[in-house]
Amino acid sequence: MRRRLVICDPVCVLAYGHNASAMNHFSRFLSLAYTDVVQVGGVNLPVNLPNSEEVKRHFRHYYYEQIPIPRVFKPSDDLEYSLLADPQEAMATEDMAELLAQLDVDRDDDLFFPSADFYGVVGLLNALQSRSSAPPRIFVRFIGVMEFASEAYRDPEHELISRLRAENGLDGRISCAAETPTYADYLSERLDTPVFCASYPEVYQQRDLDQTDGEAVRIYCPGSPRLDKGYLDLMPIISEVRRNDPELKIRFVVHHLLGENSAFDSYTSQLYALPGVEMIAGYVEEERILSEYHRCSAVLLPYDRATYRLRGSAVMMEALAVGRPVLTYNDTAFANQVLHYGNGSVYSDRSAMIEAILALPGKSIAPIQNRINQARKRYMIDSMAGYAAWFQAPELMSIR
Amino acid sequence: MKRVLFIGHEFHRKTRSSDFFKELLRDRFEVEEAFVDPDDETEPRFNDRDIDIVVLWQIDYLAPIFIARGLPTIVIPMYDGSSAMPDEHWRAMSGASIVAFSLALYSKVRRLGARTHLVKYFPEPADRSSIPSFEALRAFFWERTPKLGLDEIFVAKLIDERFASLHVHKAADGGGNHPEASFQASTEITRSSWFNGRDEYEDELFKSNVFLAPRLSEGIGLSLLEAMARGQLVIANDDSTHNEYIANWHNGILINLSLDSLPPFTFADAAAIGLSAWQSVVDGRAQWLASIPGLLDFIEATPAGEPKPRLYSIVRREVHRAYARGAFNYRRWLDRNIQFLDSTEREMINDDSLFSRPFRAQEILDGIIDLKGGAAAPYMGDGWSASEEDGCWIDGHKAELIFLVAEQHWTEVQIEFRMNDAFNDKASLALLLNDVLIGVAHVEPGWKSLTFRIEPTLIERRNVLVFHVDRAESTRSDGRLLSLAVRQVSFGVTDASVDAYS
Repeated sequence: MRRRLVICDPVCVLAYGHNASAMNHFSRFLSLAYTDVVQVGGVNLPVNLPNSEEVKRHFRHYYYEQIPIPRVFKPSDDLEYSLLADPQEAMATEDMAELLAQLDVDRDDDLFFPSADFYGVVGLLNALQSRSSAPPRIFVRFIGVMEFASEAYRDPEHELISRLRAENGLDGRISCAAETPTYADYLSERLDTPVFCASYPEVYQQRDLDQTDGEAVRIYCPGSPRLDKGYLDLMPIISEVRRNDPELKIRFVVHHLLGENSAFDSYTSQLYALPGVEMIAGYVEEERILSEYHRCSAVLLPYDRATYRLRGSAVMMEALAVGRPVLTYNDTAFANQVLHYGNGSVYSDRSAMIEAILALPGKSIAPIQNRINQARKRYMIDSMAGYAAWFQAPELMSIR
Repeated sequence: MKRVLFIGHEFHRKTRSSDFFKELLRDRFEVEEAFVDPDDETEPRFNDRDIDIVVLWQIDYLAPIFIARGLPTIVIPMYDGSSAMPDEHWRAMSGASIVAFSLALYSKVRRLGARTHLVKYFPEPADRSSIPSFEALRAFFWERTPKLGLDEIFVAKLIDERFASLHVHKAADGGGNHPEASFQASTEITRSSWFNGRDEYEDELFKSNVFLAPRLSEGIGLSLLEAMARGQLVIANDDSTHNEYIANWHNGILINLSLDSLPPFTFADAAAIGLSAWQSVVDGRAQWLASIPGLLDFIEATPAGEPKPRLYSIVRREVHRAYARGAFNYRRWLDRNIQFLDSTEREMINDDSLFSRPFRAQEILDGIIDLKGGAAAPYMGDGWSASEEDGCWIDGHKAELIFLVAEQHWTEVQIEFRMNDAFNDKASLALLLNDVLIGVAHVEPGWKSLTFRIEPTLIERRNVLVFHVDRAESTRSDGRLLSLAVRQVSFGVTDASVDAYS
C-alpha cells in the first residue's frame, strides 16, 4: 500500500457537473490502495457543497474564459513566476509549487489528475522543475474536456503532448490514461508510449430493474442540460414518441437547460409542455440523480457524435453501475464501449432510436436484466484491472 | 402546526382564484388571510404577530417588509403581472423563497440566484365520456383584453369555413364597448355581455369544442386548463404560461397576433389534439398531486433572514408607497435602494434614501465627496454600481452625484478616477455641472486625477454633477458594463487651475 495520494482537479470549482462527484468517487475507490487520500480542488468551489467537506480549496481559477465565475478576477501582475509568458500558467505553477510545499510532497507520494486540465498539468511540470527533491509519481487521466484548454498557445494539444513527451526529467514517473479505449489509442500515438484505459470506477451499487413486465416505461435523460449532450434532440425524439404513444405508456425525465442562458427558454418551455415529460432542475443533488436512475427503465443519451468522438460518458458509466441500459447514437467513443460490453443499444439515426423506444413497453424484463448484469460484471472487472495495472496497486482489484 | 399569513391581491377576494392553494396549505399549516390593494398608498397593516411563515400571492413587492422583519417569506409571483419587473425587483426580495407556476419566471429568478421551486398546476380532468366530438368546430371566445389586440376583429381572421359557430362574450376587463367583426356567412355568430352566474356561463361554454384563450399570457391559466380538462381544442397566444401547457400541435395550438388565418388542420386532427389535451390533464393532475408534499416541504423549509429593525421600520411604509405611485417611481426607488434591500449587498448605512419621495440631496462637507467604501451614498443619484473599498464604478455610460452646497465660490473641481482596465485604448470623459459642460478629457487606464475649471456662478444650492463616458465594457471576470471608477470629487478654489494629469 502506498502512503499518500493527492487528487488534483483545478477545474473542480462548480457546484454542479462531474468534477466534484468524480473527486469523491475516485477518493473512495483509490483509498483501497493508499493510507491517506487528499482531495484538492479550486478555491471557488462553494464552501457548503454537500460531500465536499474534505476537498482542500486551493487552486485559483485559470479558466475564466471557458468557465466564467462571478467575481473571479484576472491574475495579478505580482507573480513569482511572472517570467512565464502566460499569466494563467504562471498562476498555476505558483499554486502547484505552493501545494507541493504545503503537503511536503516527496517520492513516496502519488499525484493524480482524474480529469486532466492543461494548466494543472503544466503547472505541476513547471513546479517540479524547480524542486531538488525526487518527484512523486504522477497519473494523468485524459477525459477530453479541459486538457487542451488554453488560449495562450496556438496548438495547446501539441504543447501539452510535447511537454509530457519531454517529461522534464521525471524518469518515467509520469504515466497517462484515457477514459475510453479510442482516446487511449489516440493519445498513445501522439505520446509515443502506451496509454492505459481508465474508465470510471464503480460509483454506485447496482439495483435491479423493476421486475414487473408491465406497459409503463420511464426513460431518464441525465446528461440533458448541455447542448453537446443532445438537449436539442430531445424535442424531436419525445414529440415523435408522443405522437405514437398517446396513452403515455412511455414517460421521460429531463433536466432542463434554464438559468444560465435565456437562448433556449422557448425550446425548453415546449419540451416542458409535452405530455409525459417530467422536468427537473438542470443540476440537482446526487441523491436525486441516483433516485432517477433507480426509477427508470432506460437511459437516453443522444450525444453529439463530433464532440464525443474520443470522449467517454460519465453518465453512461453511472447508468451501467446502477444497472440501467443506455440508448445512444453510434460513432462516439463510448458507443463503442456500449457495443463491447452490451450495456445498451446503439443507433445510426433518430428514427431508429425512436422506433426502439416505442418498442419498449411490454418487453420482458428478465433478458434485459441478465444482459445488464453481464455487462456490468465485465465492465467492472476491466475498470478495476485497468486502475490496478496503471497504479501498480493490486489492492484495487477487489471483485465483489 | 405552523401559522401562515397568506396575503393576496384584493381582486382575489372576489374571484377566489387562489383558494386551491390556500386549501393545500391548510393540509400542513394554520392559514390566516389578508388582502391588499396595490393601488392604495395607505400603508397596509398586517397581523403578523405569532406568524411563522408569510406567503405573498401575486403581491411580490411586499416581500422586503417581511424579510426585514425576519420572517420566512414565500413569494408566488404570476407571469402576467411580474414578468416585466426589473431585476432589482427580484433582488430586493433576495431573502425570500419563490414558488413559480411559470417556467419562464422560474428561469428568470433562478438566473438571479433566488431559492426557487417550480410547480405545474393541473385541475381535475372531466370524465372521458364528456369529451366533445369534432364533426364541426364550435368556438367560444371571451373578449377580455381587446385593448391588447386580442379582440373579436383578430379572432375573425381565425374563424373560417371549418367553424360552424362562434360565441363571443363581450365583457372586457375594465369594461368598455369594442367593435364587432364581420364573419363569413357559414359561421353562426352569437354574442353575450352578461351571464347570470357561473352556470349560465358554463352552459354556453360547454356547447363549444374550441376554446380561444382570452389573454395574451397568464399567471397560471385556470380557464385554459379547464378547457384542456374538458378535452377542448385550445388555441392560445404563444406566451407563458400557455406555451408551458400547450406543446404546439400536440395538445393545443399556439398562435400570435401577426397571424392572418389559422393553419390548416382536419377535424380528425382537432379531435386528436383535444384528446391529447385531456390526457395531458389526466397525467398532469397526478403529477401535480404527487408534487404537493415537496412543495409544502419547500415552503416549510424557507429560512428566515436576520431581522433588521431599522430597515423594517422604514420599508414597511415606503415600499407600498413607492409601488402605488406607479412603475417609474417604484423602479427608481428600487434603483436607489437596492444596496440596502438585496441581502447580498452591503448593510444599510443611511436610511434617508429609503424614503420613496424624490431623492433628498445632502450638503457636502469641505467640498469633498468621498466615494470609497459607500461613504458617498447620500450623494449618489442614478448610474452607480455598488460602492467598493477603493471607489465606486459607473455601471454604464453615465452617473450623477447630487449634493447641496452652502454659499461657496469654488473655481475648480478635481476628480480622482480610473478607467476600466478592459479598455485597450483611451476613452473620453465629459463632465457636466448643472447641465453645463465643464470639460472633456481623453483618459488612459490607471488611477488619474483631473482638475476642471468651473465658473463660481455655476454652483447653486442644489447641484448635479454628471459623468458621461463614451465606453463601457464588461471584463472577463465581471459581467457589469463598467466605464469609470471614481474615488473622490473635490471642489476648491485655486489661483490657477491646471487641466492636466497629476
